[in-house]
Amino acid sequence: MVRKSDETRYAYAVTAVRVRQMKSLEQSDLDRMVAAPSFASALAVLEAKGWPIPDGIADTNAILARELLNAWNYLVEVSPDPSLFHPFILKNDFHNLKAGIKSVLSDYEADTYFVYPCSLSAETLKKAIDDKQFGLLPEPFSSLGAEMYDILVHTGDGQLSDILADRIALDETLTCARRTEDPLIIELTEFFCAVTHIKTAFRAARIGKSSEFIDRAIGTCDTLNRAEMIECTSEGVRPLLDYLETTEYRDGALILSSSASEFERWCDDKTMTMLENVRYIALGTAPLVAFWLGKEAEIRNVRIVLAAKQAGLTPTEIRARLRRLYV
Amino acid sequence: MDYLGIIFAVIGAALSVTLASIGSSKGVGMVGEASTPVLIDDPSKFSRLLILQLLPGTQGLYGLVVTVLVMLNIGLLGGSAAPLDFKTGLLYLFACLPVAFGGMASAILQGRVAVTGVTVVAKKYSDSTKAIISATLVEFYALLCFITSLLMVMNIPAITGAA
Repeated sequence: MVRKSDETRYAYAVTAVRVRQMKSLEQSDLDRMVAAPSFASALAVLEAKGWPIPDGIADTNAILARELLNAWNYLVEVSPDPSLFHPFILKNDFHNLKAGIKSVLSDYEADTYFVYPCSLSAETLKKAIDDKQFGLLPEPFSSLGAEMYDILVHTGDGQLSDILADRIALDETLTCARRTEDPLIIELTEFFCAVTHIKTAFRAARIGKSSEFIDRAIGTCDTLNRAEMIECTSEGVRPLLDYLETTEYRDGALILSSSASEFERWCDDKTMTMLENVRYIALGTAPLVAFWLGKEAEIRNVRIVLAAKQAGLTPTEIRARLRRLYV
Repeated sequence: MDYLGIIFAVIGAALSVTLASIGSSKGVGMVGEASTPVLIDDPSKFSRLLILQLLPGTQGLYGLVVTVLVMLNIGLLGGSAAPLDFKTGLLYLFACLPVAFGGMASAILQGRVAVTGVTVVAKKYSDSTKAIISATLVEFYALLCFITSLLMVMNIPAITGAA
């Protein structure tokens, strides 16, 4: 935990990210993008805000990935202790491990589907996967990589290897967050892990997965009773929703009962709500956390608008999909 | 035994400038760190940032003034230091404590307020005067400590008859 006396170490970093945030997209910019008559004019709004947009047909994913990576690199550059923010990117490391093993087994380069930023070195991960030397990786990636590889080679069961990786990813993310002893990071990570378990449980309940599968897929977190959730999930969607209504996620459960995509939006908006008071904090790690999660929200919104523009959705339909921004 | 008084008075004088300067350097440094990203982005905001950065620096000066006064009173500056009795030495030590501790604490806290002011300068330049006023309010308590120490140090010779 960053003690009160240590908060002053973050004076430079906090102002640096606040200055950077002044160049972030605001609601009015998003409104202009939504109202833009075409995909190209929506991109022009981004270009006017200083986003580097290459000439010709724009590769949206590359633009967004670069913007996100730039934000991460900036956070690492200014932060006295960048490892505090690893709980927010660990999911990318686990994604890379999964994608890398599957790519190699499908005769692609291991790093074809890597996403960034990540805490593990991409070169080391690629080498470990290419050479099947998972011992090069730290725990739990080492044992997980070897186990996933065995499952995929011997059974070809991609779903089994995925649920194994996803559960360990969530457990590791929570452990990593608790190591920081930072209350905001722990609270946000707990929320992220809990809603991910809820999404997994909901999907499992909807397609009637076995108790054994559910037991493997759902991990532990402080705000959900794992045993009760597994039992309710194996009984079906209604018992699961009834259980969720007894938890602090009851608002989300109500939304989940009507629409899974609305639940996703609720999760994103709730994260921004949790960061609402951070804008009044002058020192410490919280403004840096808000900077990163705010940037993720901004990128998510831009992705939604650009994809919707390409798909020819109306402004009303696009607005219904937009998330809250951290501004 | 005669030197014990001098020792206490010198400890007080040293504490006065050292603690207040520690607070000031911490406060000024903190604001300086916070100001740098704003200056990189917009160097024209330097004047307001400089005021914010200077504010926590005054406590060090207050400490120095008290230290110099103690040294003058005990004759350390003029080279005419005479033995000082134990009680007078203790009086000087205690007289220095308000500016030493009050100065240190207020400088650090003023630095924190000034850091929040830096964000105001960066985001809402037109409101930056309000941020400067907020930081200045903390100065009032540093002044109280300084005046207390100053009055006490000035009056010790009159009380003890050691002028």
